[in-house]
Amino acid sequence: MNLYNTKQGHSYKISDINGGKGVENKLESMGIIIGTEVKRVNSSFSGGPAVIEVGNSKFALGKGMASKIKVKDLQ
Amino acid sequence: MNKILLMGNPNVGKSTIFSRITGVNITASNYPGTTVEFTEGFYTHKKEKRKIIDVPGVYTLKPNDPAGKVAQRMLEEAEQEEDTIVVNIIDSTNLERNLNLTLQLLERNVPVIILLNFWDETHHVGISIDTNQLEKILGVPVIPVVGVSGEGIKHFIDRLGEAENVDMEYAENEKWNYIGDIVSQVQELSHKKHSLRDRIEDLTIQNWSGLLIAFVVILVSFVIIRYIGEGLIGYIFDPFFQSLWKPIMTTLSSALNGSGIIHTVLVGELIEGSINFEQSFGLLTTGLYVPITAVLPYVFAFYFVLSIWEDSGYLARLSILLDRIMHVVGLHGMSFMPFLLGLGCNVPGALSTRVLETRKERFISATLMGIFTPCMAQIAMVIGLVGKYGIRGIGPIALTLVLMGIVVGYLMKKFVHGESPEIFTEIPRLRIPDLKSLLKKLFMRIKYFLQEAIPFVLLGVAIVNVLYSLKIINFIGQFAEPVVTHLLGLPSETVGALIMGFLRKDLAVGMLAPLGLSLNQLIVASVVLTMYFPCVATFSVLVRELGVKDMVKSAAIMVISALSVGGVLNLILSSF
Repeated sequence: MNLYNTKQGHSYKISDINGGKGVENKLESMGIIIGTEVKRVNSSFSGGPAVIEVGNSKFALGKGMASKIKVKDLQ
Repeated sequence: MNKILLMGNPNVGKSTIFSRITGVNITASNYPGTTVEFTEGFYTHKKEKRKIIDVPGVYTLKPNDPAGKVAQRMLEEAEQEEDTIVVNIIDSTNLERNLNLTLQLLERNVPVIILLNFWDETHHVGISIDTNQLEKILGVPVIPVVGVSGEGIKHFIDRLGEAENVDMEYAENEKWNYIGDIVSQVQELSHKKHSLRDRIEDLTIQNWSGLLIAFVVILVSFVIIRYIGEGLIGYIFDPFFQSLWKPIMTTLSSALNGSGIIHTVLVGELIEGSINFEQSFGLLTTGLYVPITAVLPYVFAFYFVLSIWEDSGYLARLSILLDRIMHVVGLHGMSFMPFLLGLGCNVPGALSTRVLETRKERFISATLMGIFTPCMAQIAMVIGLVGKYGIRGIGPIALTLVLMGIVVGYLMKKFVHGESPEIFTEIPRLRIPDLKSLLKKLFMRIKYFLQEAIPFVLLGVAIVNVLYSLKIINFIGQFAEPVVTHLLGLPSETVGALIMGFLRKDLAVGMLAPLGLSLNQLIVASVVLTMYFPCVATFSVLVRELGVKDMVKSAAIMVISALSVGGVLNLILSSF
């Protein structure tokens, strides 16, 4: 499953990121790496961004980037 | 010790701490050779003056964007200097993520001291941090502070001299494990309560509740802007001009015998035997009245509300909700900022396009902002002109600008080459804004507006007066008349206003007042004046930001859309 298709309120663990070095580095600098636990805050709506919670921070990611992040459901 | 760099991730409260320790003498400037803005100020302690620099917020020292490169270069300079120390500000509720930058700073050849900001929030989110232990591990002072209340700041100043230049070493590929180790040694988590604040934060982001809240926030903001703007005009600025300035001008007018070239330039024409600040059109009458009385109160009110949006963390939430809509015109949520700033004044709007990533984004946002975003100066004057017709006057103008903005933006998205990147941003927590840093920012924006606006208004009034006296405007009017009268349905006298529009849009709208136009003509003229060309100040900034070649393309799009939209609007309105 990828991050864009996740459900509002559910928690996930990142299992893979395949967006190329640029995307990986950007995510890494904010502490979003393989193994990081994330919680989905909003629901996907017509190509709008995915908002996730990591620790006490929230991030908004565009559909393209979010789709490149593979996650496992922790529920 | 003479220089202090404040460094940290974005949204860690750097600016609040900056304005707490600096005095009134602060300046914002561009880092040489770049388009990145930073703020610097001074702080005097025990008769020693220190320069304090608010370095742009970054997540990492690997420069992958313009702000990162500037932070990197400032740090490199600091490594060369004897007396510079780095103050690393950390969001103590996000220790793990923030330590990434901290470790990179500790590797460098500079003394570092660490501030754990938002300390008061740690127990709300169920975190306790052992600062002594963290100090031992990192080898530099670690001081908990609360930027907004000033708690811990004095302690920080006292310990400034203890900043240490340590040489931290760790394996790059083990970095996050190492950070995890540190965090587990110094931080204890208790159960996190889902507070009311968490609930509201989520609601502002989630789709339907978010849109509803955005609608209410925008509506309330408009009411506040209008209330402050009208209040300042009605109770302070207009009475000042009418009761104190007018007698002086009347004396000057009679001293000049009420006519002559000097009278025309300084005082302008007498309307029904006396000075009319809106229509006389002299340097010292209309030239001062329009920017100060008609426009400044609204610019002040607008930037006041915008600063609250920014500093409370709401603006980022609004950007996320608007992200989807912005895709239609090839932009994303964060590229909403130029339009919002442009509503205050197009110049800072144009300047803010530079933070966008790609050429395509910058071109689209600068062109759309230039065409369809009337500045507060112009809005104030348009409202003065058509406000008495209520929604019948303002409705068609606003609707035309928004709809045509979407159409032109969509066409640019299709035909402009290049990439439209996606949104990727941190969403800060909702916080009560710190009044002191808010006022400092507001003050800088107002100062900037006055510096930009007043010289151009005075120049504009002077030039138009000269052009009128030499009958040059009548001459140009004859050439432009077919377009103006036949295509747009306006009398040929509006040519003067259109020429003025190159200099100042607010004055241009003001020049329409004495022409006795019908409502339909006022609507067409207001739309065309907004769209056809940016004022000269914005134009010069856009040339610098886009380059001459792209600016020519952008200007062509502006003129073509202005004339076609004006023409069609004239046809539609006159057929009713």
